[in-house]
Amino acid sequence: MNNRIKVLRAEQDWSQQTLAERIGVSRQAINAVERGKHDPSLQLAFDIANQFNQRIEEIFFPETKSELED
Amino acid sequence: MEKSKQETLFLKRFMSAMVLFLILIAVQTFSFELLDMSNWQKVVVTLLPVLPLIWAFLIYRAKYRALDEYMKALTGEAFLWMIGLLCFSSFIYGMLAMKFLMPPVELALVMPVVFGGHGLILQLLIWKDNE
Repeated sequence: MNNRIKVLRAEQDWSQQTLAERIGVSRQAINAVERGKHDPSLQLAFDIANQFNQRIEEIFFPETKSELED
Repeated sequence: MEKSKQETLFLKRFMSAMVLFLILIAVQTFSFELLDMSNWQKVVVTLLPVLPLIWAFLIYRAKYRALDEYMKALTGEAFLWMIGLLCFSSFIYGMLAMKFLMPPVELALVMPVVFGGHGLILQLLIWKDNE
């Protein structure tokens, strides 16, 4: 799953650690979600979206068919 | 409670269990050397060090339950790897032992190897995702 977390973090000038502490998860979890290595649960996705005052679908979007085939 | 405080509390409890384990190993050794015990007393003294290990296991289980979803997934995968390695290596050893004279394996080492190996694999999985 693709996401805009890195961009949104940069806009807020937050490190991965800052976002992780605000949500209450490990920095590694944020890093894995941000890099698309871990698909977050609905709860974690909501938590992340709430931190940026955005809706889930404005932050997370599915990979295209060609990306999935790569 | 903050993550760092949770981690500190976990380490304190876990290290306490390990210290207690070492103390009970010493008690076990000195008891066998210095005391004249009946068989059931010997069994009890021999198994005493298992108690802090059970405590350590419960401490680790509590830590696991407090992990976030990503670390839970990685911890589970690390255990899967370790159990797989253990099963395959014991199966290979057993197959070889049926046909060849094999060196004896100390079964008491299995648990520390599994938990140590699990920790190592977990760090490798974290490193792989964060490289």
